[in-house]
Parts: sequence; structure tokens; C-alpha cells
Amino acid sequence: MSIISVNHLCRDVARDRALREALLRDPEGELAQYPRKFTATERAALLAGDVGTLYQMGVNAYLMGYLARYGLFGLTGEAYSARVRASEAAKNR
Amino acid sequence: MASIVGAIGLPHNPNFPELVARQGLTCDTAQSYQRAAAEFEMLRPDAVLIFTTDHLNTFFFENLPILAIGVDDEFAGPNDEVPTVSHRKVPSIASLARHLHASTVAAGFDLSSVQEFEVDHSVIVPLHFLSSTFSVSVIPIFISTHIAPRPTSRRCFVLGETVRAAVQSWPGPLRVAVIGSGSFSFDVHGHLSPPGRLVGVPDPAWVHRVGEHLQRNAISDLINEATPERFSRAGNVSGEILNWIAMLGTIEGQKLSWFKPELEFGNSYAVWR
Repeated sequence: MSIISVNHLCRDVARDRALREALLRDPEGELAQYPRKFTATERAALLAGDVGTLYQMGVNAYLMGYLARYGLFGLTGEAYSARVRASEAAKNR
Repeated sequence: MASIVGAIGLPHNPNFPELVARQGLTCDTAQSYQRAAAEFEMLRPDAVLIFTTDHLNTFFFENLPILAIGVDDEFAGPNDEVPTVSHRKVPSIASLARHLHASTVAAGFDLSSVQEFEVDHSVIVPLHFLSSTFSVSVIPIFISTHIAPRPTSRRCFVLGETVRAAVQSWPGPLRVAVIGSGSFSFDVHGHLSPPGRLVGVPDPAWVHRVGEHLQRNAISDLINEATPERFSRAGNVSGEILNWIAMLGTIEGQKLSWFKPELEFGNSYAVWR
């Protein structure tokens, strides 16, 4: 189980300005170079800004919010909020 | 012998130092921290114990202790982003921390020992406001309150009682103040934050309820109601009330002397002395 890799990425995003800038320039290339491995599902969700899927996979919300705070993977605060809330609503339907 | 001379419950929002810098000393948050700081000064502590929760900065998923104590003669922080607050060192007392560690383990609390560590905003923000010179010695006791499984509220209270007994068995004449750090209802980046926002207060009724219990000294009621089910409605960092509950366990004889809710942020300020 590698969801910990996504958690690491999110914490690194909060701490590493160069990583943030690289992810903004070339998200796919930078993820490929990241020292930890992602599953295909995780990589696809990250690149699509699909934080709803990642939330339901168990990525820590406190950390994942940094993706939206720094506008990575096309995320805005509004989009992040909508996707996370929608994923939870879908789970409970 | 050492004694616990008072306790202070406080929030630790990482944006509060910047908020106070921007809004000035007359804003509500600044006024509350100033009152708490005045009370803190009146306690004249030689040492501070702070029950707190790391936000995946000191610890991470590879090693995530439920309970831990910092054992060193100094530590540094913040190791996360706290706008307007610089990274600095905080004095501590390794010998006292070792005594607390040994005493609590002997009593059945298996605290991890942490050396050469840094802390995040959950320690530095309260200290920033209470003792801006960072001159008083501080020992952090970490409780994992954000990520299930959390310790129960009853266990946290008994931990506080155990820490009090350990302090009282320290042979030196030491005045010890205790801090409980955290919020009652707050959600950070989770599905309980309001639509379109990254943070919010999803359960203001719980903030009211906690305040009522504290003001009535109905600690048993608070312990009974501070459950995982309540935390699932009150936000993903609402378990921080466990830091307050552990702090309440250290109190023996002190009375609530000041209480100030801050509903906008889902937290409160309180002093027992």
C-alpha cells in the first residue's frame, strides 16, 4: 500500500518551494522523478486533481489541502472543497 | 517537592500570530492571548508542561506514537510554516522529563521518548503569545488526537492525573504550569469544512457544550461526551480537546478563574489557578 507516498508528497509540497514550482511547471514529469513510487490510480488522481478519490483512498486531509493552497494539479480552494465533499456524499449514498 | 500551580487552555492556530500582527493588539484574539499571558505571568512558573498534538511534522506515518514525551534540554520550532514567527530554540529540562517519562511508564502509560526533536505550531504558537522571550523551560507531551485510533478521553484524563503525581514526586521545589493546546471544533481541508472553504467550524454546538462543562466543572460529563462519534462531527482536528482533558487531569484544587470562548474559530481560552 503506497498511499503513504501521496502523504509524503503533500508534506513535501508544504515544505519545499522548489518542488512546488516544479510541479506547477511539469506535474507529470515531476511526479515521475519523485523519489517515492505511486500506483497508477494515485498518479492519475494526482494529475487530474481528483482529491475526492484520494480522500476516499485515505490520504490525510490536513496534508492534502496543501495541494489546493498552492494551486497544484489545477486545484483551487473551491474545486478542492467541492471534490472532497462530493466524494464523501457519494460514499454515504 | 514540585507542584502544579495552574493550568491554561489555549488554541494554537498557526495563522494567529499573523492575524494579531495584522489586526493589532485590540482584536479579540490578541486580547484573549494577552489575558492568558497575564495569568501565565502571575503563575510564575519555573517549568511548563504542554499537552499537544503534532500535525505530522515531528512524527509521520512511519512512526506515529499515540503518546510521547520530549526528553532533552532544549528543542526547536516551529518545524512548519507559522507566518511572522521565526524558528527558534526553547529551553527544556531533560532530567524532569526523564522523571515524568519513567513515572508515567511505571504507572502503565507507555509514552515514547523523543530526543533531538523539533515541534510545530501547536507548541510554538501558545508560547509565542504566553512568553514571547521563550525563556521558561517547556516539556511537551504529545497526544495523537487527529488520527484514529485516538486514546480515549478517560485515558487522557488519567494520564493528566498520573503526570500530576509524577510532578509532585519530583524532589526539587519547582513551580509547574500546564498547558492544554488545541481547538474543540475545527476541520482542516476535510469534508466538514464549509462549501468552498478549506477550513471551518462544523460543530459550534459542541464548542458551547464544552464551554458549559468547563464552567460548571462537569469534567465527567465532558469526558463521557468527548467520543470518537463526536469528533466525527466536530471536525478532523477536534480531537485536540483531549489535550485539554489531559491538562484537566493535572488540576488539583485550582479553580477556573477565566474562560473566554472564541466561537468564530471553534475554540476557547481558560485559566485554572
